[in-house]
Amino acid sequence: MRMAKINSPLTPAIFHILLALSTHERHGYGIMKQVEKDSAGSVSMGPGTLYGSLNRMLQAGLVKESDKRVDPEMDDARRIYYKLTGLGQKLLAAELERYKHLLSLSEKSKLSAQRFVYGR
Amino acid sequence: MVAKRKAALLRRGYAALLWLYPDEYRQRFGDSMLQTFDDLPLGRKGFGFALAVFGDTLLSIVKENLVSTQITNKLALLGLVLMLPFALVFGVALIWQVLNWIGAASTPDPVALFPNMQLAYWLIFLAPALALALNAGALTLGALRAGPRAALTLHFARSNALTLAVVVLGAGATVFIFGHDAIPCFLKGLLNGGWGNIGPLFQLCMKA
Repeated sequence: MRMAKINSPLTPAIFHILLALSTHERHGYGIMKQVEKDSAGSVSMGPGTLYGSLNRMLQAGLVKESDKRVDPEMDDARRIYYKLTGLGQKLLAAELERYKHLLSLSEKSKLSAQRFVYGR
Repeated sequence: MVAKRKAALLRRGYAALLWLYPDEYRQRFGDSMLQTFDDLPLGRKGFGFALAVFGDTLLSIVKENLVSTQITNKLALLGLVLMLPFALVFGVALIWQVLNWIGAASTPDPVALFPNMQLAYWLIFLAPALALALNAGALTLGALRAGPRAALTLHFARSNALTLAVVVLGAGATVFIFGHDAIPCFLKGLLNGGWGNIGPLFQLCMKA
């Protein structure tokens, strides 16, 4: 299989999937629910976006399929769980670091969302 | 009962939609996607949510098909794009001919439409020949790589279906463009005079 490369900054879908998998191994619907929860409903992805992103992340070595079946209530033979690889953890850490840097930069410059709204 | 029937119908529709993914992708993620679809609270979230899920999957299908398109298919797509201007001109000319025939419109002067008609002719008429050459080349290379035994199988034809279609369409368009007067002249001459005068007949019809 060819190894794809995913560069920073990550797309919202890939960032949120990495974030969702950072605490637990999850299956497709589990990831979708966690992404919705983490983003307070602002990021909602369908199965098309989810599996397209997972495909690219598998190819890039950021996630891998897990043997575990950790959700006994919803278990099913077809349900595949995914977990982060070392590379996925590193990329998520680097992306979070990038966000932290941007946040500190905006705090230093005393920027706020309201400053960019004309007429206020 | 009605809700269950609706859910079953949606599931069947979604399962059918998944067949539009490239084979490799569908074999890897098809079951998981259907499982995830089953998990979704479609009944609770309503029709708009179901529509969004279908829309998201449709967009993903287009994306995955474009990503998985092989180089030969990319050439075939380029070939189709190259043949588009000719197809448009051919279609418009055909409609005009019919309108002219029933007396609804007179044939327009092409030079009035395009001042640089010569250049337009070359661009429009050479494009299908270019599409033919590119795709025939790709097909020949593919056949050489696969070897004669594999190239003559139905599997080879099926996996190169788009390229084959462009070769056939390109050949048809090229023959029509460069021979729509010469070919009937040649066939008519051949029928009337036989094979004896084929040399002069060829020269005569090339000027037709």
